[in-house]
Amino acid sequence: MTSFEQEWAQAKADASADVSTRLASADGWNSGGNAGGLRSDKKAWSAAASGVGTLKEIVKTALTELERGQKSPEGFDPLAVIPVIGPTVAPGSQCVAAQREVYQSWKRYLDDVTGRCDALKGRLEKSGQNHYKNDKAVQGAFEELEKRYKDTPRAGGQSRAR
Amino acid sequence: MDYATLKALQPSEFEDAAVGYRATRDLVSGAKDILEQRIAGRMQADLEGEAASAALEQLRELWQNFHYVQVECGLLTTALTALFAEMQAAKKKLEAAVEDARADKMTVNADGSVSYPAGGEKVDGKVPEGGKVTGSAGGDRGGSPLDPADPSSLADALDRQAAAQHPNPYFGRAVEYANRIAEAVEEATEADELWAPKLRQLKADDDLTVSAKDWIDVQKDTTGVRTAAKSYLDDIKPPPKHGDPITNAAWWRGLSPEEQDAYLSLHPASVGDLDGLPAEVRDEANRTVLAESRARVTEERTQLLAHEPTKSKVLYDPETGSPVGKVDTVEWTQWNDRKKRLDNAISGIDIIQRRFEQTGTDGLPKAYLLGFDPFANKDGRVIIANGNPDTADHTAVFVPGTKTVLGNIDDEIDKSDRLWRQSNKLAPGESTSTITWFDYDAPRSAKPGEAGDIDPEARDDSYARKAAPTLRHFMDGTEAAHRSATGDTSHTTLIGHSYGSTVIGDTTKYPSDYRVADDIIAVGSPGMQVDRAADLGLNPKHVWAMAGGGDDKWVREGGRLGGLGDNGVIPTDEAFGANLMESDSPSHGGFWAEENNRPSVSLENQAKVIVGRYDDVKLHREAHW
Repeated sequence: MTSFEQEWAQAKADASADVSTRLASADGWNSGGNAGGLRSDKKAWSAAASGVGTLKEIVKTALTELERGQKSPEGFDPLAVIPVIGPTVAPGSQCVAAQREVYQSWKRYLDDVTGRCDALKGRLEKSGQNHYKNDKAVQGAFEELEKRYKDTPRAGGQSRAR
Repeated sequence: MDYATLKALQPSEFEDAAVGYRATRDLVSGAKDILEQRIAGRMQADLEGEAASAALEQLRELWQNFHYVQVECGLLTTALTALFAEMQAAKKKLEAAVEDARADKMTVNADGSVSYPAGGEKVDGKVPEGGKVTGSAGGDRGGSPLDPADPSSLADALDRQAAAQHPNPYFGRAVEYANRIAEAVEEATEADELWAPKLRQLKADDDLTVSAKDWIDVQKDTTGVRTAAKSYLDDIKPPPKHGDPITNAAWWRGLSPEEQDAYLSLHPASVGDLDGLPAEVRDEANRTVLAESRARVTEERTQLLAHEPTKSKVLYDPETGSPVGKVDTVEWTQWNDRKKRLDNAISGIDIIQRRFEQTGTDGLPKAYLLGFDPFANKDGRVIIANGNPDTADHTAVFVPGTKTVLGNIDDEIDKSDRLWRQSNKLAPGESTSTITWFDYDAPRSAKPGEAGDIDPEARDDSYARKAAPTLRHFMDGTEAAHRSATGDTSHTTLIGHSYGSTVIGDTTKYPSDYRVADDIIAVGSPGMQVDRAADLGLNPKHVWAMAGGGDDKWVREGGRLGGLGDNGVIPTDEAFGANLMESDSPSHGGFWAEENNRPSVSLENQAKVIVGRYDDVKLHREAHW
């Protein structure tokens, strides 16, 4: 037996003797923690603010494109809104009506997103201008945004009845 | 829907709307990239502290909004395109019937009925009078209890019979036109009723928090559109069954942009997994899979934590009846296994998300998620690239070894990052892509005692044998996608760490239309299932090996002992015939060390091979036949 084979055999013997190691290394990963240092750089805050400004412009362009895709977004189409009478299906196209409702919902959503960009941009700018007293105040300003956009139980396209 | 509605309907309204949603999807997808690559990454690099963390959290929320818009607008684009196709077909059918009726001297009335003129041979001295008929669509036309099996053919027969007996020859043709009109209206009505609820499902969420429930809803929306778009999708050529990557690449190139969009938004999991497709496409698909997986896993974990079973039960001595100890219950052990699996998945998803945000820091290029499934294989699947491999001059595919799981994939992604940085430094004018490929069941132990295994799993070639065709398929896909994009090949290097090199050895046994790689590097290799470098199918000059200190011996010699090398030969042996590279790694895991961004010898040597600077590689021994 070579010396390595002896070493290997010994390791095997050790392993057999100590079966309790079985679970020891099962959870191999660790979560990387942040050092949590304190650094504030005016330029970095301002760059982030102007970046978010660009994002807002892109979303506004998207809104324009979305609207362009709607022939008469606010227009009145009598065929689309004739109500259901009796047991028969309404003669108007349900899809035309649905398509317009869907459009309204996305217009609102994207409007809200531009609002979020504004709010975020404002806070990033102020952070760069030392508007806030200290780190804690900056943190508070951003966390306040979190509360503003609280989740509702309803997901997209679900009826209110649910 | 009735005749008047279809007559007034402009299907182009749906097509125009689809164009708007496509533009929105593309724009917002661009905004998402900018946020990820130029804002969040830089902010993480430049700022630290609670304030920056809170700001970053808000940027992440905004990123989620963009992703949600991107995926939903993609679905809307496809839904509206499919709806347009169906409505357009119905409308054309209607217009053709109306046109034919008019050309035949008939009048189509406002309710869709058809009036025909007097005509035919005189009966009792009078020309048979004109009249009016109202058509009916195929299925409704039976009206007779005689033949429930095929009412439409029965109806046609009855129509023909009536026409033959009618003295006015216009009558029969009027019935035909009226029926065609009724059928067109019927088809449009069916599409209308099918799609209206599906469209409404695609309305935007009423709040800006993109929660797990929202992503689960997105997945339901996808299924809904997929079902409704069935007839539209049936017209699109499906992906080749069990297609090789070259066929897959050709299939994708053959689709129109609209068809590609439809596949991408309706089948993200299969598109993301399809070797041979462009990296951009796979990345977009897999990011959807990532978001939806996170939602599902998070929801399941919440449910699971709320229902933890009793952990242990007391064992009693059967004779004395006194308690002798405690054991974990089967229910709890199963519960705990599931919890670990979910934790592993969440951990892996977090790691990938973090890598996305690191783009731009330390010059790291955009990351492409080429494969993701938290529950594939035993420990998940992650294939992630630094930089676009489709257009790269140099591509390196890194195959990790023993003990790799989804939850600790950060170690492997980190190696790929370092390889990218050093390669890019050596060849700044050339583009490099480094890929971490983890799509196999890696053994959990390399040394006796690890993970409680008396006989370590890594002594067995079966894991590598199983992985080989999958890796071969992926390599061919990378090559096919590169050729699709550039018409040319990329200089490709396969790097295997530890057991990963065994996987590569087995992979070379699967010949295909393409070469497997231009260069192969075996790092800390326990054996490659061949005893000569040339048996890998490459000139030995392009096969490279390196060894490390400390525990590296355990892996390499253990592999020799276990038979991972052929005839007891491993790649660092002189008999193997590969280039033996210099290495300063103190251990089996230390081959990618950097200090102040300066590479270790072992790391730099790998980078030199990746960018093809062969003459600069520091060697102990040159390759030979």
